[in-house]
Amino acid sequence: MEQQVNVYRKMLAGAISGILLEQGFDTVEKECLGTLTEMLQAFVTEIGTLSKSFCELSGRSEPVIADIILGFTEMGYDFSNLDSYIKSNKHTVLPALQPQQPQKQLNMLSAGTKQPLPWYIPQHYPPFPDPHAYVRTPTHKQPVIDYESVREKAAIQKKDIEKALTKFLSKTSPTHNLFDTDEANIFPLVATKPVYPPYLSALLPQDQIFDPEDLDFDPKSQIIQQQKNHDKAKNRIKPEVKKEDEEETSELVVDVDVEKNEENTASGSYIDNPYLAATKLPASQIMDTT
Amino acid sequence: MSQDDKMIEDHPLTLGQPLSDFLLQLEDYTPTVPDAVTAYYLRTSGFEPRDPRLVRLISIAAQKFISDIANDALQHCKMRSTNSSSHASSKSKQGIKDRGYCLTMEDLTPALAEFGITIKKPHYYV
Repeated sequence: MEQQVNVYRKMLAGAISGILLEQGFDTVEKECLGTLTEMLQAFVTEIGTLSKSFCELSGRSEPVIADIILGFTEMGYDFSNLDSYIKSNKHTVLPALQPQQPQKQLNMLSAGTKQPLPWYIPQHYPPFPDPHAYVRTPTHKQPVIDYESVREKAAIQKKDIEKALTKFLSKTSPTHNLFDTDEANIFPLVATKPVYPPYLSALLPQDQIFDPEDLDFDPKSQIIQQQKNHDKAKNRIKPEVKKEDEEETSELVVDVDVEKNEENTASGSYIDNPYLAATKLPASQIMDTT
Repeated sequence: MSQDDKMIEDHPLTLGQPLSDFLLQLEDYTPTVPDAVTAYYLRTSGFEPRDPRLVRLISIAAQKFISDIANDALQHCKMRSTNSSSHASSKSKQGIKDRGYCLTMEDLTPALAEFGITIKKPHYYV
């Protein structure tokens, strides 16, 4: 924290330094300087008090030279040599103080106009701070939650989505044109992609399937399924497939089948892309050694 | 006895006159202590200086006060330095040192004791 240093004290210290330099001292201890400053201040204050007391004692209010003389005497200060003292030495005079530049006050950047004080607060009180410091303005409006506007919003959004999507598809996917003329692009129709056969979706109901991923994903069953496909493709039905119920004993068999499947895939069977084939079970240790 | 009494009587009277004459001479001279500072301290004790010469008188008196103490301290310092130089063999080093007198508490304390002011400063701050 910045301590308030008495300027007068500083000046006194400066004057004392001047006096000491006159006497012949070049340096002084800080303690001594402080002591002498204190003494000088005490001296001046004491003389002032004494002179004032003497002058009031005699019924006056303004001290005169006689009061000061009496004050000196009361203090025990010998002032007989003052005259000679002055004339003997050339005393240093302290340089005049330069007016200090006041601390440049950084202008607080004010954003917005400060609100005036209300009528019940006197004007000498400090003003309000910038309004943004304490006035809270919500940045968004409270959402409208009544039924009508929400429905309306939902309907508008749905309509906009449909419009946007159809526009997008009309620009990107293949389109049919209503008219055969050159300016046919005015009313494009999004071309449908017919599924072969068309009635397939009717035969495979999707209403009971809630999550397509949860459809029993069983690696073994997938392998078996693949085998079935292979058999169908090659018009061969292996008797080992019927042993799929005995899952425990059929491991070896399945592995053998897997091997055979691998041979089949190597020879270019139904699915030749290994990444598209179903995951294969890890081969048992016996099979590894072989 | 009567002469002593007369002296005592004359003392303030005779000094009062030169001092009041001195006041007139004061206007030429500027003391080391600035007038404003002295006036400030006089004001704190209730003495409102109407006449600037009074202020100057007091500042000169204060200046002489300090000057006397400093003079005594300088004498002490010189005494010490001469004593130590007489004991020591090499004078060249001491000579260089003595040119820069330093006012220390060691010199100030006896000087102030002669004036009746006792100073006891702690050697270290705990």
